[in-house]
Amino acid sequence: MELIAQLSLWISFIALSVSTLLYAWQALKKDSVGHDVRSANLAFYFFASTITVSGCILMYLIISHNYRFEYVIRYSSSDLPLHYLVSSFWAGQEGSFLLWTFLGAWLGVVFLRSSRYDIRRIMLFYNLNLIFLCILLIKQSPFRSVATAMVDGFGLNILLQDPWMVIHPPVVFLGYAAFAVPYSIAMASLWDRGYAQWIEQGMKWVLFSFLTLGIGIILGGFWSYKVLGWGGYWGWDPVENASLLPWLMSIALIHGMIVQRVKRYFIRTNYYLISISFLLIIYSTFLTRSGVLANFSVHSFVDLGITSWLVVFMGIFFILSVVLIAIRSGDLRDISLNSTRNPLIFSREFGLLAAVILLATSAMATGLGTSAPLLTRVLEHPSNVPHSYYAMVNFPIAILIAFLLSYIPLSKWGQNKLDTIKTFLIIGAIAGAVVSAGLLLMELPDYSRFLQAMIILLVFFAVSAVVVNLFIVIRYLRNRSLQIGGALVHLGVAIMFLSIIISTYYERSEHVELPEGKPVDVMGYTMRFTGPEFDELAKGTRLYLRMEVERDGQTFKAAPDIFVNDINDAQTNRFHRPHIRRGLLYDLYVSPEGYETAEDRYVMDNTYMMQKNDTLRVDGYTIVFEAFDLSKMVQGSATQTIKVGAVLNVISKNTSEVQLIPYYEVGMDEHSDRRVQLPGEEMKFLYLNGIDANSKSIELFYEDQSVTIKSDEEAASMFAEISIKPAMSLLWFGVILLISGAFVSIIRYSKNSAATLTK
Amino acid sequence: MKKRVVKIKYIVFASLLIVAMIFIVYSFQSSLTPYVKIQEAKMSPGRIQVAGLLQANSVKYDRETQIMEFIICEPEGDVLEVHYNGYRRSNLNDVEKVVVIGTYDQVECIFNADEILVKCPSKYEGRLE
Repeated sequence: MELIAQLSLWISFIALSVSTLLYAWQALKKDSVGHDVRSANLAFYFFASTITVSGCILMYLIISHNYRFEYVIRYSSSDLPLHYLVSSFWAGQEGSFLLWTFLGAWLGVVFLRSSRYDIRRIMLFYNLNLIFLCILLIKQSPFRSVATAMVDGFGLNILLQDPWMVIHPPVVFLGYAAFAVPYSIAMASLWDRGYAQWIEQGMKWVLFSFLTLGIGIILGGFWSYKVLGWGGYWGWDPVENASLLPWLMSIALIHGMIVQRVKRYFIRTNYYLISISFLLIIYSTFLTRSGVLANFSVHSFVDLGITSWLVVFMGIFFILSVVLIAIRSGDLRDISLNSTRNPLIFSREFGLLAAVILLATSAMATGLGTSAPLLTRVLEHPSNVPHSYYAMVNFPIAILIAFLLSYIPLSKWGQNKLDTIKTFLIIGAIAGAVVSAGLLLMELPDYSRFLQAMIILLVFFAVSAVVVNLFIVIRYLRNRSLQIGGALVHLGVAIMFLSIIISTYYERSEHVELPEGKPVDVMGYTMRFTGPEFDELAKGTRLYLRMEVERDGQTFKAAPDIFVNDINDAQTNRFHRPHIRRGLLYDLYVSPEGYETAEDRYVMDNTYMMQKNDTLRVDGYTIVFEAFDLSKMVQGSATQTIKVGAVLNVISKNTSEVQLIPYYEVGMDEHSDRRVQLPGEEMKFLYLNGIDANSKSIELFYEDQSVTIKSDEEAASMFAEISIKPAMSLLWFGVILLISGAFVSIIRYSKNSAATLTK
Repeated sequence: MKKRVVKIKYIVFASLLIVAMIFIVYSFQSSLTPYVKIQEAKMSPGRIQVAGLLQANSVKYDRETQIMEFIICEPEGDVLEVHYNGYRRSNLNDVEKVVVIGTYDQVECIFNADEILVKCPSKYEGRLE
């Protein structure tokens, strides 16, 4: 089986190479009439089928629980239901590269079948990108086997066991794979000198890449809001940023392409933008897969030994883009000289120019922050930047973008007139003023004046952008024009800006302790913890914290949960899953933090960590940790006992100094040596509950048996962070508008006729 | 006359871009948080981040002040006492490695963290041993 699987990868690689050589041979022919790409296409189809076979084999191995294969062992297990077995396919790096290549292959097929143009040069570039993916795949094969088969796999990370995580990675990789199509079209157009044609051909593919990567990012955000319990939908984590960078760049590109299409500006800029977008895809992959960020992320990254390949990959495409643009720079300059320069300040092209600059700046600033650990490596200490950096640089950009959104969609190409649309502008401005005045009247959270001003500004422009774009949507709706796509996207973005600001800066949250059975008032709600419920599962325990929540006479149940996953004896993982009560105006977000019984608390309050020569004062005793006693260690080959004692000097009020030595034995839970009795009449004990070799410290537990835990007063409690997150439904609504608008735009540009050119 | 207007436009535009660049580079530089060892952390005046192994059961909470205390250490044996002004109960008890971000108080000999990163396993998990 391993042989067939590995073979399928090699055959795919060979088929792809053959196809590339055939395309190259055809591409070198001068005129576009006398060429024949049928055999090259055939080789490509063959490649697509063999890589599909590879994919099917991996899927089969996972579903049939073939634990001879390392990948299957690492990412799946027999207790997983079918849909999570399917997502085990892309839970690891090797599988996700296979998925990427597979999607790239089929996108290539779709492109081949749908394109009516000369594709030999485009396919040459496209194949080049796939060849690199194939090399990575062969280098880092998902089909490595282990010497002895295992009985069961490690299972899929519990966080990934969510329906959204089944579809999120394929969508992201579809977006990643899709960017290669417009890039290849652009590079081939430089060769062909078809500078205008690439816009016509490439627009729908850029839109498609933008849409798929966008959906992927949004699904990721939705998942982290719903499952992760970090409390947010966006954390500026390197992995999130990695997808955001090419996405922002693609938005800049779309706007640049629109200007080029209508006004013939930006021809050279667009080549830069598409090259940067594509290079950012590889760069992001490099950042997240090479291990350079290992210490800077909540995700764990591991170097798989493909780092150098990714650098080579990036270098080749960088040189390719630069050289091709440089070769044609004479042409590009001539064209730009022919078109009118210096757009008028209120014309649409000026606004779009500003939008391109702002979006590219945002991508660059975010990229700079994400690359900080890499850039500062040469310094003494590698550094990174906190979340506040991203907020700080992107906030002003967001204000300016909202400002543009509030008037550019109304402006006209090449005209400096705003008077025809004055009414809309004024209505928008009034709406913005009313809403921001409303916010001012509401008590503003305790932020600096500067931040408050920024919030008000963004809200003002976002509201007026919502109003203006709503007008435009209605107008296109009447005309039944497909141009509604752009307007819908803009409306969605304006709504998203508004909701992101409100949900970020007007969130309220409180950490609470809810004793079992007792109602507690939290932010207008009455919450009662009704009790824990333990659900024993194969790989751990799920603890549901059942609650009853009441507000205005309405009662509902909530059950956030904590999953305790036993990896091995020494290590457990906890996963905190929030309970979200969605509402039109705000979400109630209950993030579980813990559960404690009175006994837990007693142990916790009376456990002390001590290092050598530390002194502990408790109940009139003075305890000094003098040294370790290693005399009871047995270092035999067959019988090895790790038993370590702690020499303690104890002084109390009435007695003289005594020496006590409790012993701790690794691997033994209960043994009598661990406990020593303290001098005195009462039953007071010290337990040596642990030793920590790393910090050379001991863990002591002090027990006073005369103190009984009061069961009534200090019953079990749950702990949670309760948050009120306003405007979350608005955010998802904006997202839906954005996605549907992008869909409409793809349809519009797929029709690809002169009739849809702007009127 | 027209040419001059164009020129002014360019100058305004270029200066705006430069201001934006300076702003970004400045924010970038001022928010860089170096990643240091415990030894160096105890001598650093600014905002830093330190990675360490969380000492088992060292996490304590103060109910009144809502301060969480714990100890991290390095394999070399250096130990750092951390105070975190937040209340994330139980979240830390079972993790091994944490990254704390904040400043070191030379007087109290305590690291005041304002952010804690806990390694969460993800799709980028490690290789099979």
